[in-house]
Amino acid sequence: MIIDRAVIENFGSFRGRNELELSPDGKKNITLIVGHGGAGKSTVGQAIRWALYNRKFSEVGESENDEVYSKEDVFKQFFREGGGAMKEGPPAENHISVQLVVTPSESVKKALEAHRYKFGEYALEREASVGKIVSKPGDVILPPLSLKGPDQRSILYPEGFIEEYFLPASMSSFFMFHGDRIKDLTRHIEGSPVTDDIKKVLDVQAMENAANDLQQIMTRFSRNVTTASKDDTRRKELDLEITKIEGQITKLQGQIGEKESLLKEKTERITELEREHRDLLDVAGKLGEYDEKVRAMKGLEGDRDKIEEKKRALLDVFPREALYHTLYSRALKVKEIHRKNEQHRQNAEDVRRQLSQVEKLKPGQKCSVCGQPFPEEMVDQRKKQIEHLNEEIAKEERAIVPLKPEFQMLMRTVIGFENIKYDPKGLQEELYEKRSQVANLDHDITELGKKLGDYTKPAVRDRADEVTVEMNRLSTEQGGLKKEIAGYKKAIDQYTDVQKERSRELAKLGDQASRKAKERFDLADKLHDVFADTVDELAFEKRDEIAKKTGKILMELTIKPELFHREAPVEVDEEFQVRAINKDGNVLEWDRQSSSEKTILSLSFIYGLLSASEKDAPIVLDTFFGKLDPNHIDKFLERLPSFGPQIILITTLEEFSALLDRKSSPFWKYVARYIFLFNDESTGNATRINTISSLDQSVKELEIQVQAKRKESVKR
Amino acid sequence: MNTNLVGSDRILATAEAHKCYDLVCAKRQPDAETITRKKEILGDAKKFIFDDTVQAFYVAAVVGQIVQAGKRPSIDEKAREGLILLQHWERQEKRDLRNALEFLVTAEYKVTEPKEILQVVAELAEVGIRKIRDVITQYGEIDDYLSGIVETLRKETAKEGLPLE
Repeated sequence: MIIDRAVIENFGSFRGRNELELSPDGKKNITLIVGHGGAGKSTVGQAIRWALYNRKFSEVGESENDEVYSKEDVFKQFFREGGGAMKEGPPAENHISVQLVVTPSESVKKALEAHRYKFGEYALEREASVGKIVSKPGDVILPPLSLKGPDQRSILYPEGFIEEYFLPASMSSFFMFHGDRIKDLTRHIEGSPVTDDIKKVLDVQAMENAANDLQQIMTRFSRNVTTASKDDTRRKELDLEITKIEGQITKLQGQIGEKESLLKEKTERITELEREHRDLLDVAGKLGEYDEKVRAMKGLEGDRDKIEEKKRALLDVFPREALYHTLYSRALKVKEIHRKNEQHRQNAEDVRRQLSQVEKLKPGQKCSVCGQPFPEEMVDQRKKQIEHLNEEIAKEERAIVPLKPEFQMLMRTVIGFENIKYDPKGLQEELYEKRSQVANLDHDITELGKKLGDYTKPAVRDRADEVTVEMNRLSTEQGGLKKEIAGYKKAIDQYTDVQKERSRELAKLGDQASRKAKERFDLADKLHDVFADTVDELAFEKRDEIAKKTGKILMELTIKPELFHREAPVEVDEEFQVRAINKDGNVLEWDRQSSSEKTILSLSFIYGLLSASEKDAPIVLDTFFGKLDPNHIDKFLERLPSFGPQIILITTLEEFSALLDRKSSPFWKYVARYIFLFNDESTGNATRINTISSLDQSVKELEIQVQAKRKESVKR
Repeated sequence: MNTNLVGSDRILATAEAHKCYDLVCAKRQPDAETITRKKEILGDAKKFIFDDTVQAFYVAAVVGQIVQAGKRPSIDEKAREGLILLQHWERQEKRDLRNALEFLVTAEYKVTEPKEILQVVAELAEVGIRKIRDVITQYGEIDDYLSGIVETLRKETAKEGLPLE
């Protein structure tokens, strides 16, 4: 990538918009930037690095830790004056930007084309802005790096874009260094952790080559790939269709879920109602039983009452029978008396008869049989006898009790009660049985009544009716839901059938695709091996190339060629560590070498690396001539134009003066332009630019300036 | 001297006899104490042994006659109030009983005046109803007791064994 132009606006000591033309002009690939200390020379390098990497310069060996510009760092840029001094008060500007108009390298072009950018002029721009008054770093707004294409479209690229397609940040230190950084580079010669970045620089090209090889091989399998592509299209269609079907099925399943949930609720409710209905029927049954028992109870109680009534009626019988027996006994006694009375009457009659006979015998009366008069004494005896009999009659008649009326009364009374019998036993037993039955039934009724609790017949019936109605309603709804679910399931089955069919087709294609994928995988595996081998080979070649080119230039630049091995003065190991080899073939003890020699080796390595990597990266050399002795400078100036496609050489006025002393050097033919930087006192010592394409135009002026600076320097 | 138990239009009874009748008869209005006793003795305050006081009176008179065995009762307690109207005593359907009782009392207690006869019957009923109360208090019913009485009487008459002429 070539930096054609840098537009620096308000960065560092630059104020306003400053354009620095940096593009090579044909063979003239060197831009010489000249300025006294504090004129803003290093700011140019910093501006380019800020634009590309948003990083400040750091030690090469610590490249991984190169500091990213913080808001505070950018904040400071608003207050920078010429000569690096900080000014006081609020900044005049509220916008900082650095725009690099670039010509991308081939690899970058490919990357950009991949992003559908047309090839042409590209501008990388990094900017920062603040509000009206900058009071703290937090006010700074830092948009990411933007890339503007020829169609003026702008894309915000991630930071890694530059690192990937241009140069890693750490490597940029190699190509954009000033004098002080030479020592950093020399440190790499001793061993640094930037090996991976070096590999990255080299591998890009290697990858490109490998990719070309890969492309060629792939072309042979293009037919397969085309077929696979068709299959892919069909597979995508099938995938899409299956996904849609799955979506439909999921939707239907969701609907089924909802309906089943509803169905479940209804089923549960029906179960509850059925249970309640059953309970109600049970209660109703019990109520029937209860009613029946109550009816039976009433019947039994009626029977019992009747028996008790009968039994009470018997209580009217009791006095009659009791009186019957009492009177009967009394009648028997009366009868006995009567019998005795009869006896007495008989006795009295007998006595009377005897008396009548006795009374016939009178004194002087003759016996009718014998005609003889009865004796007197006999008559006296008769008289006594008559008296006795009369007494007997009176006695018997006295003994007769007049009982007839009482007897008749008794007869009437008793005969009336004759057939009456008081016998409560039968009724009593019957009554006991009924009472027992009543008691048992009463117990049953009581128990049943307890079970029935508060249920009353109408409430039970009403509730049962309600339950039945609700059950019927729910059953109807249940049926409807079941039908709906069945419909959904049928739809799912249909979808599933289609899905299976598509899946089978997809599986078939999948198998084909798998086979093809495996073929491609095997191919890719082989290609990977080829690629890896190629990379290894390239790396080896690159290392060899770096070593050869570094060694060649080293031998050209050094003023002590006898120190080094004649054929292979430089060795690059697998870690891309560079070592100088002495004439005996051993590693040169580097610490013992002069600073100038170290710098030469570093420059040689830059050359070797750049040549081997085929990178068209610009090289920025910032005030490093002071590290070289005059002999080295002569040799270096001769070789510098061949170092790369774009070289930006930054020198102090003193260094430039030394260069001017070498007017005969071929170096001057490769200088495209001269950019003089100086501080403009009218703008607060801001950097001003004066670009000239030919030294002859104002060499006199320059010489005057140089001489003036020299005098000033001597005076100091 | 027995308490006069025959009023101008009704037969009287002592307070105790009244309580006895309250305990065993329907169609009466027993006091709280008697109701409690009925519950204790008969198991239910609504239960009763006799349909009415008249029925109980006749049974009581006969029972009293059996208990007294020809001896006239001595009723010293003052008659409280009327037990039954004389017209109930003279009821046609009970006339046979009344005649039998009058005849028995006349024969047994050598009384001839109707009022005197009724006085003796009421005295016997005073004794009888107390006995009935005692029996019921003890057994809860009276059937067995009355059955026992008639059974004994039956045996007596059977022993005599002579038919009436």
